[in-house]
Amino acid sequence: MRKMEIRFENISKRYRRKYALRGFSARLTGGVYGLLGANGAGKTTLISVLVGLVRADSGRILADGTDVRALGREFLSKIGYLPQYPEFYRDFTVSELLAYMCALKGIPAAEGKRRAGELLRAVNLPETGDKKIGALSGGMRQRVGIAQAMLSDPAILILDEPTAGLDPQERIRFRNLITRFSRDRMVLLATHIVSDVEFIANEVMILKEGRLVCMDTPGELERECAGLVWTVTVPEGEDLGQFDKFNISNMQRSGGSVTLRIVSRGMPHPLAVHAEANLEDVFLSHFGEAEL
Amino acid sequence: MRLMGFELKKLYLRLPVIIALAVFTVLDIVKIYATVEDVSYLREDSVWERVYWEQYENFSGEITAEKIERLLDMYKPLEAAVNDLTATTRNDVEGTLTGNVYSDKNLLERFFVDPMERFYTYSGDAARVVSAAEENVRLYERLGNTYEARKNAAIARLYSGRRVTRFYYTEGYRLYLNYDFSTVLILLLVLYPLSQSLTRDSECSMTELMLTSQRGGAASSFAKALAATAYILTLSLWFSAVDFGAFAVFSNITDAGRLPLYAAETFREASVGVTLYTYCAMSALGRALGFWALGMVFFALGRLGRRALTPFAAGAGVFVLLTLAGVRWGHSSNALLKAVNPYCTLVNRLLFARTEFVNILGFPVPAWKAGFAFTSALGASAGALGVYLGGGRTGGRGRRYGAI
Repeated sequence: MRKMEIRFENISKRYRRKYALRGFSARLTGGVYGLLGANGAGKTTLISVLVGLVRADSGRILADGTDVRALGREFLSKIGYLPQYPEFYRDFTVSELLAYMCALKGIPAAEGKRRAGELLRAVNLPETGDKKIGALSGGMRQRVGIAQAMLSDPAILILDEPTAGLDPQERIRFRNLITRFSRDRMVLLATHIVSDVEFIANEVMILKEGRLVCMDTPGELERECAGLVWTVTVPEGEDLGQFDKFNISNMQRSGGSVTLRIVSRGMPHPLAVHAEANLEDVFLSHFGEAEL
Repeated sequence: MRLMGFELKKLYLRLPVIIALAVFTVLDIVKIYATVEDVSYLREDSVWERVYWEQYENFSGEITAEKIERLLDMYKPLEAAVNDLTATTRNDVEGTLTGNVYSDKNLLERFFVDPMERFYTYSGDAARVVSAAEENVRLYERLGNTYEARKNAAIARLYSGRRVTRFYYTEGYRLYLNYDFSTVLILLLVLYPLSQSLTRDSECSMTELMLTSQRGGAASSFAKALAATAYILTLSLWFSAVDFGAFAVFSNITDAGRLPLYAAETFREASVGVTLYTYCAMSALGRALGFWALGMVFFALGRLGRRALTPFAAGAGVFVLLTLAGVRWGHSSNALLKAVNPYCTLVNRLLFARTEFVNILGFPVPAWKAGFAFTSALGASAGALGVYLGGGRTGGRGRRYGAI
């Protein structure tokens, strides 16, 4: 499969007076893209504009140089999409739902059945074909959602909060599945859970208040954050309130002392030492409540 | 077809709908039984019922002079005795059919003499209509009124050769042809799932998935319209079959089925010259057509709201307005007002019971044909609008790629 190029050009979308997206521009070529942002940062709006559910107020999206609006249904044939918190029809069985999605995607019945079986195995739901959607747990339903998004073997897989409701084991399975799937394809994964993208994203885009604040590989983003991350270990009895003015990414009690991980431009404590940045620190450096 | 099958499953082949259908079917049968028992003079196990069917053996079938003579030999003495007030009021009079002279006279008059007289004299009445219509044709041709001339020619053709040569029990048809309860049941069964045709998708976040799939727009919307059509037609024809079957069982409407429609008391001026059996089929198809058209209107209204209540309320409102208009103008002489109201296609005796025409470009079109044509056009237009609205929109938020 040939990789596609998606180019966002100055996309803006406003709901009443509030901008959900503001001049968003980016070029996506292939691999896994993590779209990170706090709730309300504009991730779902960006995805909705990309899949055509929401019309942008300005800007355009090009797929291999052609406006996706001009491509129309041809563009839809290239995407697999998992919306946020899908519920599906509770009285459908898993097999019926996947067969229905195949019909919607124009996949022949026999091929769809084979593909559905493969995907159910891939998402670790091999025995659930006859189960009603209403009888599934949230995590199982989410895995069905991931399976339906991959039915047409799409060139672009767009997942909006795909790991909501998944337990740690399911998350690991999901990450491995996405990594396998992303070969020669593009995966756009919107989430506010940093660990979802930390290990698998080739590039991370961080959205804040509708603007793209940075886009780079996780390693590069972490390097940019170098020097901002500190750890400090203080005795149990010490007043922890002194650290309230900092962005604390982690706090751990151990053997009568407390170790804090802090994102700050300045040295937060005389005992503080620099630490290697991770993606969570990068996230916090943009979304933390305290000044850096 | 695959999408249509899934749409059927999503909206109609669901347990609540199937349970409602079963319950309503039983309710319909009970209501028909109650109607026959409450309204008919021939209640089960009554004296009249026993006597009627005994005498029916003697008088049913071809109307002959011998039968008429025999009937009048029985009836005339009773009539005379009642009229000159010499008849006894005792209930155990020997030699009577029911034990009471008045009762005998009333039974024979209502169920044998009057209908047989009506049947016997019908051909003469029809011939007079033909004669008057032909005279009108000549008059209007002289006056240059082409439309009236054409209309009277159509009346003359329709009434020419009309006659009723056989006598059968038609009381059951009097009840059956005026029975509307199942129409209300069908309406409820149509309105509820149809008003959910779009909202069900949005309520379980499926709209986004559908509209981002190649066939989730117009094709899916068209499949919804087809599924609604299949459901409505099946439902309507099912209840027509139940109505017919129940009346056949409880009120014996099978004997008279081969009589012409105009043999039914309230259809003397019927606008079609078909048998009662054929009319039952035409009426069932007409009702199915009316429900389909209303269903398509509900379907289009279903595209307007993201919650089920809005289209449900709008659909119910439209039906109430059409019903009020139908009740107000259903018996008027303005055939156009009936023809353009789908309610009259549902309750289609309003279109069939009288010979009426609608002037379309100077040509007299029978009101029932105009009504059926208008209802078909309304259903097709509303269905197309529903498909269009459902094909590209995402609950008013945007528009999908490649819509329609």
